[in-house]
Amino acid sequence: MKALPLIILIFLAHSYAAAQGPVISGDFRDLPFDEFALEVEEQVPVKFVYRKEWTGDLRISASGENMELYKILSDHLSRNDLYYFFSDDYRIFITRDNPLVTVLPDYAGIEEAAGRSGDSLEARELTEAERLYIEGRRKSIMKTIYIGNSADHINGQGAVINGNIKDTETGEAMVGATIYVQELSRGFITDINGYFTISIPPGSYIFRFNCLGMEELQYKMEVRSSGELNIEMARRLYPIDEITVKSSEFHNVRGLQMGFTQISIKNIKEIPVVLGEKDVLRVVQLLPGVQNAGEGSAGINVRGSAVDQNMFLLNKIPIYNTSHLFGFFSAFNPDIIRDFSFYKSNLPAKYGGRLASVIDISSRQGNNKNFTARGGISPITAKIAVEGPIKRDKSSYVLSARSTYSDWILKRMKDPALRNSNAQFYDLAAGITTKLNDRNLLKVFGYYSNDRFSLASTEQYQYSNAGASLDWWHQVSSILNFNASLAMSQYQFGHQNNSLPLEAYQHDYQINHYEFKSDFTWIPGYRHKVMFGGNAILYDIDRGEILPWGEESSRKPVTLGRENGIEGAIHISDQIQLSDRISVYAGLRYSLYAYMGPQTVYEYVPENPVGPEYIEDTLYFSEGEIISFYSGPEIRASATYLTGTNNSVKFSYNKTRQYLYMLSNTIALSPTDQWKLADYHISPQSADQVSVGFYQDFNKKFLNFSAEVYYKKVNDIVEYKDGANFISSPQIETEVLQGKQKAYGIELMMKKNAGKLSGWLSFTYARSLIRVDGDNYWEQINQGNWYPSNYDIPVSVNAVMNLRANRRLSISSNLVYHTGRPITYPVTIFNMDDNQYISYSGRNEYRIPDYFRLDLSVNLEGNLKSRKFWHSYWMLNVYNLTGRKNAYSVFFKNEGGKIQGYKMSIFSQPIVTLSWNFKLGNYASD
Amino acid sequence: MQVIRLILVYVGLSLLVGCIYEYNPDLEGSSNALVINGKVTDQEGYQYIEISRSFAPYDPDNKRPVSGYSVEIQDDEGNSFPGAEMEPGLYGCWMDQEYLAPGISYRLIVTNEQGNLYVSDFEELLPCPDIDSISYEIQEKETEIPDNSYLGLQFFANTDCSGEYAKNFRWEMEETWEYHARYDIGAYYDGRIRDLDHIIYDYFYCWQSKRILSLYTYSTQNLNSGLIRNYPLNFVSNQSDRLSFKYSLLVKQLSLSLVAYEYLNTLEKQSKQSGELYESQPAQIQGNIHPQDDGGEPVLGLFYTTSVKEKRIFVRPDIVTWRPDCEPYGLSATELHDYLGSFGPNRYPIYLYFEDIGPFRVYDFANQECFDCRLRGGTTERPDFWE
Repeated sequence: MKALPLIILIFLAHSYAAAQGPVISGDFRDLPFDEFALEVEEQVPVKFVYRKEWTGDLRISASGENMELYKILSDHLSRNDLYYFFSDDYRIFITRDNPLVTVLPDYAGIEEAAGRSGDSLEARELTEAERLYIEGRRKSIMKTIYIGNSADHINGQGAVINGNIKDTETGEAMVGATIYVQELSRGFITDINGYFTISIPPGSYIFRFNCLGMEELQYKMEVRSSGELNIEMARRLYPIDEITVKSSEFHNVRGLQMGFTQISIKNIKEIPVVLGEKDVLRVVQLLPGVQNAGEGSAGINVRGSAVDQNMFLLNKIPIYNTSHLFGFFSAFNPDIIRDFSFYKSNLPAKYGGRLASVIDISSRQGNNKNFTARGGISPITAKIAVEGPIKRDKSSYVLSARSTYSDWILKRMKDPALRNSNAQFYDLAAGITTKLNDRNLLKVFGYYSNDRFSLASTEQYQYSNAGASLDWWHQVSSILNFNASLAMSQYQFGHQNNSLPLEAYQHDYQINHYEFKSDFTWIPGYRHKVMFGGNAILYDIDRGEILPWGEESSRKPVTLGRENGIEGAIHISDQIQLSDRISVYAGLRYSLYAYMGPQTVYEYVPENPVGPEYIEDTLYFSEGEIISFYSGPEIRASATYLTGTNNSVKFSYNKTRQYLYMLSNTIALSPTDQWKLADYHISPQSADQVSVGFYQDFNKKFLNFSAEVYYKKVNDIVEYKDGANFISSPQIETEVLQGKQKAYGIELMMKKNAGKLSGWLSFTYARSLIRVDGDNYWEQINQGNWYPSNYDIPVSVNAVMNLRANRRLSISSNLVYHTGRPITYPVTIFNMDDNQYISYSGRNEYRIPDYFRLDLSVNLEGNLKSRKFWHSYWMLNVYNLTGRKNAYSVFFKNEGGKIQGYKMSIFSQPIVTLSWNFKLGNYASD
Repeated sequence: MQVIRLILVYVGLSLLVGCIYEYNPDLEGSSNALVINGKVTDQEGYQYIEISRSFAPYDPDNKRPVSGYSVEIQDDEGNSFPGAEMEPGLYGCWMDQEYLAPGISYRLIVTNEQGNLYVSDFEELLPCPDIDSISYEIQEKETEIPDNSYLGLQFFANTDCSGEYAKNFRWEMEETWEYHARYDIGAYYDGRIRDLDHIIYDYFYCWQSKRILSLYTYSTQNLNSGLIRNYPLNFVSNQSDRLSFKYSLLVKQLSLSLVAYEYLNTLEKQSKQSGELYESQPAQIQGNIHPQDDGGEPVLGLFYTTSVKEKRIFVRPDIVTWRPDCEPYGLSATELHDYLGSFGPNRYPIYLYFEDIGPFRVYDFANQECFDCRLRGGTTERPDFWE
């Protein structure tokens, strides 16, 4: 056991040196130790304490500027079996044979740590025992925080620590900061307001506080009873891991979430983007399991699901159309987004309403200490966001605006139809956060986005999202939090079609969503985290009227009708730590839905196609009358088993129900796609998903790996009939069929979170198949056989890399490859009246060519002075570097009696954009 | 609040191009599907049924008539009209006028050599209103090159189907145009240059006719009345000689049942795809001819009944159109001789351009289309209907 104290010494010496690092300069050649000691004492305020007879024949040789003293000592003393010890009062003790021990070790099992005298720690890799040992010792130089009073402690009960984590500089809440309790191998995460609740047995712990871009903090905690803990974290001045997707080891391996990603907007700065606008949805599309329909489409398909199965929440406001400018941008101004969470596997029970995923976006709360602003200019858009305190440390505001001037690009298009088009969009957001007191936090947020474009002067579109939310967070007691919110959202579009003046029409559509939501978080003990609550939604949809437009039109007006529905849900979940290795999440949501009158509903003659000619009976429902009622449980369960310190296996089962869907029969998400409620004829969709995953961290290289396998089954998926028309009559049941879907896949991802080179590489193999097999042929698609969905992309590979050349310059790239999406192709040609016509294959039997794209981005930061008024950076983006003409669509035309195939490519050349962004403050300012 | 001056600097944004390329993907394609197309019109005579086999995309062998089948048309009053094969794949059933009247439904029965039966649904013959008028206007079309647009005539159909008439239509068109050669003929070469003793104009006036093959269908189901105003028919550009003198369009208006309309309208849409952002996917179309027994194969094609009304319009367009290049080559006598000698006798006679300068006649070569209008595909026979 002789080696034990040795290590302590080495460590302490090291840590002292590393922390305060006495350095000396000079040229010592074979200098007797006595003289060396004098020299050192002259240069630095230390005093050597030693016996001359021990160092008699010791000679020191070293030369250079700023040499580390402990290193010189390590190098020389070991030869004479001497040890050194740096004391707190700047004395250096030299001992012989035995190192000086000041503290007793509290760690057993160190046998393997066969240290050698004078050994430098850098010289070799630490053994596991040494590492643990060192970490065990580190607390001696750590600040100790005492929580509570042992007198207050009630036997057998855990202590609950409530508190928040803030940014020292701006006072902004740190969301998603992690608190890791080493002794329990448990992690806690701060919520959206920066608050956390930790429930643990009383005792001594080491808490590690981490948040991306912030200095790590470690405190020794003496937890005696429940209490409060408020932490301020300082910004790390030179963040080296800015591209990291924020899922640290706690999330990836230990966390209960599967298929979960949380990304902070700061971290996507360097991902190359089209047209120079960093965009959250573009980043989501680079994650495994996420696809989109085509270059000009904002909709995303998550794990083989339709685009209408994703819930986009912006500060609790559901956003029904997330695209700007044909989908090239998402409707969220990146300057006010703080971070977003993306769930694709196991949705927490508090979320519901959509089958496939939830993307929960939080806006910035505003700096509550100083005024600040940020903005940018790219060839397409200009944007600005300002924020500041209303009342210092109490309340803050944030305002943003973004607009486009993209018409000049369209004017340069070759296609005359596009040349005669124009497009404009803008979005506005405003938020106020007020801390009423330590127990109450109030947030108000408003959002508006508007798009207007015309295509080839024959079609005009206009659409907007408007939303507002009021969010109240209240701490009832140290173990119970309450969050209530009111949200309203409206999506509205107007469409004028003049392609045939005889039947030119206009159509205005609107969906209103009003929601009340309240959630409780209760931490009854350190092994439990219980959440429960409920929500209620009122849907008010006006599908609008088709009205003649223009003088020449004799369009027959059609009223598509209004519809109302109520959706409600209650949920309860418990996150239980069964043992050090096993954690379980058990959640249950029970959702209810009623389709309400007033409404006229037709019943059709059975065994016949659903159509106006087979109407058997007409039912009239009055206002408030329930037409159809659906309800059902949604089980949300997951489990994590830590197979080792750095790896785990997780399992989840998820049931989701969705009571509205989108009417779409186009490839890209069109602004005129209408949201429609489940009704008398169309049942709500539901999905079951099972996933299993394996997670591994490689701590040393900041690498982590995940593999997830999933199988998903969707019932009552809504598919359009061939040639469906959604504006011809209010009776949607005549245009759609319902079927089944199955989707399965494996997603592999290797991620490097830090270092000069960071990024991720993902590979996905997945299928998504649909079957519509009614009893009669008119209730079938593709004869009732399974067929690939429009978004069935079997193989996809994404690589996102960021190389930080130095602190100001970084280069990043995306590589995207995936199988082409399914398409219906001609199978045979036939003659009719001396002309040739195409007979098409079954739906989606073929695929368009594979997609490949390489993007490059160079990010140049302004200077790194810390005292400056503003900071700016340039972003040079090349989208589609190789200029590959990726097919957006393939289509066939009859030209002069012959069939000719064409492919349309949206970005057929590299697109170079330069954008400039600024913010007040320095490089690291938030 | 600080005012931040934003300085706008762009560096080389390359052209954003949404582009369409010719692309012919590998299509395994199944050929050889049975195709039956038949039509009963309200006009006495042969009602034609075409039977063929489909062919794979890109297959040059694209006419594949099917012979040896037997066809029969039946009405819902118990009459049947057996047919005969008129030419390979084309079958005709003679029907007298008394059996062809609106309100009667007809169906098609086809039997193949093995005795498999294919029967269509009953299709009612619906009355067709007269065409009110055919109108036109001069329109400008843009091309991919800005400022390089061209003109043309857009024709429109106007019709009123209020009342008992069919609500769905197809328009078939045949265009005829008169065009002229550039030069009269006074000299020619057939091994040596010969002068005619009088100028001949035999090949100066030509007429050419073409069927317009594209489908034009329309239904009033979206309209609040039976009044179809300015339904766009054919567009004739000035990029050919069609509009150089006089142009005539014969429009046939065919009444359709809803089933036939939907079939033809889908074919029409699918043959005019553009690949644009919000386009819907094409799909298989179901016809109304069904195999009756297990041995039968699925059938492509349509059987429909129709009443036909027609109207002809003549236009003397007043727009500049394309003309062939008739500039004489500017050859010297020797050059001309050598050049003419290079043609074989099968090309004779070669008409020559000439100019009389005093007593001398100077010959030159010019594009032969400028002498003989037939070379551009027309005929010198004036059509009967020509005004």
